[in-house]
Amino acid sequence: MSSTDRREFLHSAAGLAAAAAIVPSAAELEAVWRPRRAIDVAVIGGGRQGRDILAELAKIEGVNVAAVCELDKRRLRRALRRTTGAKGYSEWNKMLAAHAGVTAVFVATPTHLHKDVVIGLLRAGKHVYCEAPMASTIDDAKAIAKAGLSAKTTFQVGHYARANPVYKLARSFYRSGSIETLISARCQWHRKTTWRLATSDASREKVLNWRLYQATSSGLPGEFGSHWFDAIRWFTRKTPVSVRGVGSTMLHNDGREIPDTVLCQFDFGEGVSMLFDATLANSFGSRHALLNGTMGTIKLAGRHGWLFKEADAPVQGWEVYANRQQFHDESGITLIADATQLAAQGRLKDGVGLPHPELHYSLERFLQSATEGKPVCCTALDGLYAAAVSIKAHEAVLANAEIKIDPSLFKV
Amino acid sequence: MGTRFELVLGGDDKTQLRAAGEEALEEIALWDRHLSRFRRDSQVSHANRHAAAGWVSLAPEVFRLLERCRDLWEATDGRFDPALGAVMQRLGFHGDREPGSENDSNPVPLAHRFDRVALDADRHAIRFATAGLSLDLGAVGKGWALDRAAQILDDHDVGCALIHGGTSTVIARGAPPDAEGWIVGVADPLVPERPLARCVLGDGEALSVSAPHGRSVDVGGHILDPRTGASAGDVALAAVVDTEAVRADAWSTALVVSASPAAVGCFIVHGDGRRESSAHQFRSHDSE
Repeated sequence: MSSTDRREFLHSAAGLAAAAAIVPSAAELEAVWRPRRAIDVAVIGGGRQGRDILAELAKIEGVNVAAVCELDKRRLRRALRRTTGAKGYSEWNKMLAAHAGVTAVFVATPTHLHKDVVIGLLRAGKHVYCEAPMASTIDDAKAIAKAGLSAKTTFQVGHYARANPVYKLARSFYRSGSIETLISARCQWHRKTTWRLATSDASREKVLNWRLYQATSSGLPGEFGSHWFDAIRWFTRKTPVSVRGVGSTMLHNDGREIPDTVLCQFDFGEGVSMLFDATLANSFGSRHALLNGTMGTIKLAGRHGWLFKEADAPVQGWEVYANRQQFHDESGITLIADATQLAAQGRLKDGVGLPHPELHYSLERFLQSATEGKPVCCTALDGLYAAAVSIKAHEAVLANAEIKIDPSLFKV
Repeated sequence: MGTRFELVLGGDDKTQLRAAGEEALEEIALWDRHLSRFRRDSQVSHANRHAAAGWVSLAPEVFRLLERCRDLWEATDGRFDPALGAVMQRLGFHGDREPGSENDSNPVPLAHRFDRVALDADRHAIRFATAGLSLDLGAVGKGWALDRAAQILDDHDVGCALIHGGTSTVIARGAPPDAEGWIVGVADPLVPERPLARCVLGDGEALSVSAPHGRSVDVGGHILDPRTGASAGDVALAAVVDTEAVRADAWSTALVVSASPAAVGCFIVHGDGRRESSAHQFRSHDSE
């Protein structure tokens, strides 16, 4: 074998090792799935998340958004601009009565309003996608989970990690022992924003800014942290036994009841802990999670993921040709979905990141479950776990205390 | 869009103003995610990867921008052409120049123009009639995003605002206290540190400034004449005032390509220093 041949062989082998049985092909990642027959769907909630859902659904040919429901007229107007001819409603049950033929409904209302909507839709026989977190109280979360488990239709909770091809790849590395023994996890969500919506109508202030008030919000652990709590459990199969929380208002002292900066420490037992750090007063590092093991670290950040290896970790042949990125003194192997094909074509760098936003894969997967019977990637019980952990973390933050997390919380 | 956006808001309720401003900036960030050629997950990148092989469905709002681009492409007689992405890349405007492109006598193949882009309004879908073509909405992306952001400020009854993207596209609402309008300086394109003119922007007006300088590629400037493939002519700066930032952006690009009559108010500086103005908003700095 000539040196060139050997290099080519190793190059291809690199892809084989890196992508072993992990994710769809590059072509599948790039292409937009479409249903076998055209379907009508509806979206409830016209805030930012609802509008993002509409933008991604528009890319899927054969999925027609027939109706959008939103209480606020201005937001409804903006949401409808993101559709082609959908009808607007202010009440979801009236929308459902007028569009009884919709196959699936995407619920992106404020979290504390999920319960009645989701249960009503499931009872009406609709496939339901519920944005995360699933609920802001334990009672609501359990009620939704119970309805989701007993439904004959598809019920998926919108924790993106489970449909994200890069995370799936990272999880396969984790499960195959790439970082060996987990010692700790750290996750953060940093944004510099008031998290407030403007309104000149004082009577609407608490309705629109439900995330800022204790009666309606599970705070930063709920709205941001729940996604990481789900992802870490999905990777590690570990659940916390307690959480200690602290929080304070560092920047936005505007009458809100929810701290704008929180730190939570979860104890998983056996010496393993997880830190969750979230703030609305600083944007450095944005959102990412680290899984630290005795032989390496996996970093997850939306459409990107990296594997950092300890100096004494065994080196695999394919690593010589892997795409790398430097972070100060650390060199991370870029986790690339379907590295096999790309490496063979000499286009490994083209695979960095994802060709669609994370949300797209979650919506696509839900529609595949609803129309083709594919297993649900984030179930009612998964949603219950993430909601329950985030609610307890929020309680710990508000109490500035340590709170036990009883495993019975995760059961219906 | 690879540039900095800033806004100034006037009013009494700081909490509400900040929330409205954040929503406007979020809208701009959303359009960056949709339109960036440098993000693999943008709608423009999605179209560029697949539209030569078949129809590609896009978000309706993105499709409406493409329809608007087609109207502006027609109105400017092809001087503004958003289908030149591949040509710009080949010439090095988006990174490394492709080998051999230095000797191109006509760097814009006939097949790489907007008339090779088909739009299907019923399916909000796009298709390229030619392989190798790609969209580059850089000339109008800032203007479109600013128009949408200003609409959000209008929805929140913010009556006094100025937003700019990269200082080259500006949109105004109301006026500062005791002022006739928002005063925006226009630098001399030949001596950038020297103020050349000022533009007084009134309520609902937008300003866009284009110049062939600003990027270092050896084709004489970064604005091409899509009709001939040559780089822009002798115009050193074109500034346009209009009621829509997206239209101002398209026309300022078109006027740098060729300073022939425009359907908008404009201020043009030629390479030899000659100036011409057809809009009352522009006032010579010398005359102040």
